[in-house]
Amino acid sequence: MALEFIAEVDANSTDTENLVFTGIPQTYDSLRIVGIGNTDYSLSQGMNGVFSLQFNEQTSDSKHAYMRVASDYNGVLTNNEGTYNANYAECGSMSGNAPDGGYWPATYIIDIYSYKGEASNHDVQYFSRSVLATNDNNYSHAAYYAGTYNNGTTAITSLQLKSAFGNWIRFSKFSLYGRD
Amino acid sequence: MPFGAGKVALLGAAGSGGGGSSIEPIQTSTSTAASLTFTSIPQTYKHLWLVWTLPGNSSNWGNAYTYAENDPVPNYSASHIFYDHDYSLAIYQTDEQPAGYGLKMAYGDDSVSTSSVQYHEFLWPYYSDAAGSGTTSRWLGASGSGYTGNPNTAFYSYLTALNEYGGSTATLPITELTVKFGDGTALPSGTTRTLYGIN
Repeated sequence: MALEFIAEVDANSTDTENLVFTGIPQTYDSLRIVGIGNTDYSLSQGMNGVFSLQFNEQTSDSKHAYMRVASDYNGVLTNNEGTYNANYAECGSMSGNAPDGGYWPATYIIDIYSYKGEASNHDVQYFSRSVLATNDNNYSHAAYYAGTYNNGTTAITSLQLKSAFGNWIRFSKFSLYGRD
Repeated sequence: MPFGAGKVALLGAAGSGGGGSSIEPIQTSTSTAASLTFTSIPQTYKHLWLVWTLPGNSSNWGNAYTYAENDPVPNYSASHIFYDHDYSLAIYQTDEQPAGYGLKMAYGDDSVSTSSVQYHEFLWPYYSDAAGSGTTSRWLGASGSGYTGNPNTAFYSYLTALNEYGGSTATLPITELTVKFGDGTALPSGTTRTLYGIN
């Protein structure tokens, strides 16, 4: 298995709600995103920030689904055992605007499978890990996400990384890799 | 899932970091010392990735805790570990640790047998960024995951968050990295720690 760099997106020039990978090559078996980020939004303790994926930049077709297993500063959270027919797919969280004395960056690793639309009924699948530890652990979390996008035979050629509450702050950036 | 160790091994054996792969081995160690320090880490990659495998051993060599640090005094730091012990989910959290102690990044079995095996991997994304505490620069963040399996006693798996605070000298960029097994006991022969750079 090889890992090849494809592209990088960031919010270096301005705080941005959506970071987008476009022109995704259709030559790999799967994709991996490695990134780090946070939002400028003021969030309360717990997993109240939302980092979501929108495949092919679709924001209104209600074809995303996802689930989550996670812990936060207070302990193990009740599972989100499935959210269906959504316009986005959650894949991470963050701490928001300066809790615990700083803009703590969350770390993300996201794997995406079956993205080329090669066969009907083979939806895009993803598996994500989102982690963050803040000073004294007041806003910490660790989470696994899994989800799908019902693309059918439509290839995924772009992918939108959305900060659902506030904008990605400027140190946020993500690398996209192809795997085969 | 590992990043792609199979391809890395082939490239490493050939003495080449090319071939289209973005992963390059920086250093591999089979030292059985509990503590291992990677020094003079190149600043030319986007991310750092450490893979640590430990075979079984007939002795009980203490808590299967792993520590990683960029400085022997990682003040102003915290780690949060979400782990599974057989059918139970739990968390372990820690913050500033005494000098030389490091931050716990893994959780596992404390009674390792010949049939056990451990796998740990840690990722430091954008490790060569400049440190800062605002919206344009940041402190260090890292992710870890792995498992310790022992059919005679228990199975653990975990997901770790690690961040370091701006007040520490241990923030970005990472130029040195120490990983050590919790109680300092020597590790069994066959232990392998490899640090990779990802372009």
